[in-house]
Amino acid sequence: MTRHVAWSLALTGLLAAGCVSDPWTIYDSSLYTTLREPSPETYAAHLDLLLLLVDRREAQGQAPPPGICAESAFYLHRAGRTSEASAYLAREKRYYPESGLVVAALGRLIAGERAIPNGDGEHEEKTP
Amino acid sequence: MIRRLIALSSVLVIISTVGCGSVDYADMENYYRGAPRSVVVLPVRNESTEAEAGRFFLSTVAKPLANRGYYVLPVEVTSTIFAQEGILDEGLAWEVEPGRLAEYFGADAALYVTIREWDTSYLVITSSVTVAIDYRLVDCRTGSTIWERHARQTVSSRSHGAQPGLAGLVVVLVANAIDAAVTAAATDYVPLASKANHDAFGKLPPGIYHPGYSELQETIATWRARQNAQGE
Repeated sequence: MTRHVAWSLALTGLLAAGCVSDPWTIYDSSLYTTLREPSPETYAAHLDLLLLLVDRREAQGQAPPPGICAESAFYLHRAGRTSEASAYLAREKRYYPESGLVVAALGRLIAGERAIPNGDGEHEEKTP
Repeated sequence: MIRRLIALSSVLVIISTVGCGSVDYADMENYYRGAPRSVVVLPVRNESTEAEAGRFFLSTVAKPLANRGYYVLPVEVTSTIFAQEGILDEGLAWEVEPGRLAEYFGADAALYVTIREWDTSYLVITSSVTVAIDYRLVDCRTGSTIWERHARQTVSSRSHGAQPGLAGLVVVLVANAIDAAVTAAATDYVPLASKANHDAFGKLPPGIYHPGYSELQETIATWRARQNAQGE
């Protein structure tokens, strides 16, 4: 087991035990771990952190930090929880109206479509 | 007395919002002309010898920018959308016209980051770990640069003081060599990159979600009214 997977398991344990007072303080460490070592364990730990962050802020009557509901939707989709992902996309747009276009693009991505339907696709790799 | 307290608290809010250097309201006014509210962070240009530095650096950007009051498009989401368009590195991403970034993502501004250094250097028996980064924020509608900054962070191994005699010198050399190796091996670049971000974004005019934003806008408007009155 690598130290990053161990970190993810430890993070999952800390979140479950309610030991993280503000998940936003360790958001970047968690994202770094998922980028450095993409795996089901690191994705799951990062998703747990994102969902806890949204819950905590909403319980305090505050908006989650920008982009966090959309990122939650992205990782929920990766985890196969697509119906929940749609609800988080709607939350992102409600909290941050300026997210409309990126939320729509992510919605299409989740639906298995091309995220930017009118993109020129000039860089798209062509399959022979 | 109360007026003085209000004036003093306003000054403190402005200082905590824009930093303690002198405030150039004309620059601020220009910056806010395009009303940058949402930021897309493009794939990072990496000029260092560490191949993965750009990807790892991306994990450090969103939080400080969001704390500065900006809507930051989630970096994993935009990277995935870029990849779907066949844009897999910064070379292609930086070729995309800023106007297209506004059209595709609804971004008001795009952040272009260049990693200049992400290195460990050894000098005889000491070492230093350095992260140096250039930041450039571009208005997606006009394509013009609205803010840029350079930040550099270094951690060095400490050097032990001289000891008397040959045996003392050997002890010092060994201690320095061990310190240099430990510093180089144990220093994670990412916290250094986070410090560099903190320094750089601390100088970025605050975004609409920053608690000091409204007061700063009022101060700029007051400054503008005074300038106009003086010009009449």
